[in-house]
Amino acid sequence: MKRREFLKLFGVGVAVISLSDMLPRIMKGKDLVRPPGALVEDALNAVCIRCARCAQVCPTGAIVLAGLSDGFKELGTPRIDALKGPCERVQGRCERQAKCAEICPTGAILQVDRRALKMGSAIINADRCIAWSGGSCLVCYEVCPVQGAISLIDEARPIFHADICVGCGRCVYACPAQPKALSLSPKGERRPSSA
Amino acid sequence: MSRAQLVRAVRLSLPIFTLAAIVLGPVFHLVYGSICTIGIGSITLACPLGFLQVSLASRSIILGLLVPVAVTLAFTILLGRAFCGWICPAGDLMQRFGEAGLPRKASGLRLMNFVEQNSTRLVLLGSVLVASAVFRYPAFCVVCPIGIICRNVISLFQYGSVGLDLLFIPVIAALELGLAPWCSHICPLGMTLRILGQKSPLVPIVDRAKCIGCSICTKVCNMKVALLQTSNAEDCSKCMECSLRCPTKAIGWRKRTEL
Repeated sequence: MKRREFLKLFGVGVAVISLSDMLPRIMKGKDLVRPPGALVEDALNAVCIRCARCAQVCPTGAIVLAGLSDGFKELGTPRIDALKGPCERVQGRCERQAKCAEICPTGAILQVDRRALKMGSAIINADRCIAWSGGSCLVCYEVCPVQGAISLIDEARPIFHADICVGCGRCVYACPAQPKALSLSPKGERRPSSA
Repeated sequence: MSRAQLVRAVRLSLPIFTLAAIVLGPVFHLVYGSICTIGIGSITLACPLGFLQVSLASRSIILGLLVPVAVTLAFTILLGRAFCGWICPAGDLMQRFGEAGLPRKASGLRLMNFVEQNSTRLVLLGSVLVASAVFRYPAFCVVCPIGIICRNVISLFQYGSVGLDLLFIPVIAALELGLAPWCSHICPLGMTLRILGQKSPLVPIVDRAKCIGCSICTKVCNMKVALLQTSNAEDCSKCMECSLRCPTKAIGWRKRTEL
């Protein structure tokens, strides 16, 4: 092989490897709420083959695929978008088995005990909340499947307990305020580290 | 419609049918997943390059993918790069775009002019695998045109929206203009299938007694296989353009062992 050819090939290799290093640094990963039983972030990004099966089988459509704005390494991995739907692993159609974990071919999402589930927590923005603004609304309190995650002050205004909340997103999805007073955060999440 | 037109119509519409099966499959509980890992009934196929990347990135062998990859491997050993010619939803588009830059060859701007096609592809494939292992994510999967198309049609069907990652396709296509056509010179998955399917018994063979040396077969080949100069047809995507367009019907599809 000619020296010139060798240098070009070397250049191609260096370019691909350094781009693979640089792009995730430029497009950094955001804090994403992941499906129930998803491996810890580094393991998930490594093992997920980005096949979208989990998004296809999610009965509520809560699983969407991470886009460019969610990070380069994260591209195509599943995340929970509570605006699309709530996760029904705690209560609902996935109570017996998480459908996403069942169909995942790589073990990026595992079946975990639903009583041990912690995907994150709901956060309230009281300025937007109907109840906190004096109106009468208890939708979040009524739809919450977890005892004690939301308590009421004066039987009228909701208080969120992030340590008890499992982050299913049911309240976020149901919140009638425009714009939504609730959002979902991965804060406090507990995820399996490997299969 | 002539036989050649019919074959071409089937070949060009199969990728669209595949995408339709991907989005409609779950509705009928028949097909699950994108081309990356597709389950059709009880049979699952998995992308061999995806398997290599996630295994290297996670530094473990993904047991759940072993059987699906073995099924793909069996098809590839038998059919070579037929996937590239008949199923891949990105290939035709990418290849056409890359070829649009071919006239520039004369100006010497294209990197590939100076570098042998196979060594470049091997370096590209190797770098992608090294990057996956070092940076702990499937480095090609995230920009793979096939994966991007599949994920976006699924997202379009489910939520009516597409992602910005679709922009990678024109970006890669633009790079192609300076490099070389995608399928035959760059695609790491194509290279993987080429390596796995190099002993495929299904190859075009020229009957030298009938051949008039017009080299139409070479001109029409989607994979730039120079059929008259070489018996090296590992890149053949079984598109059948050569055999259908040969004026003397000198090209047949026979077992390589008859050579």
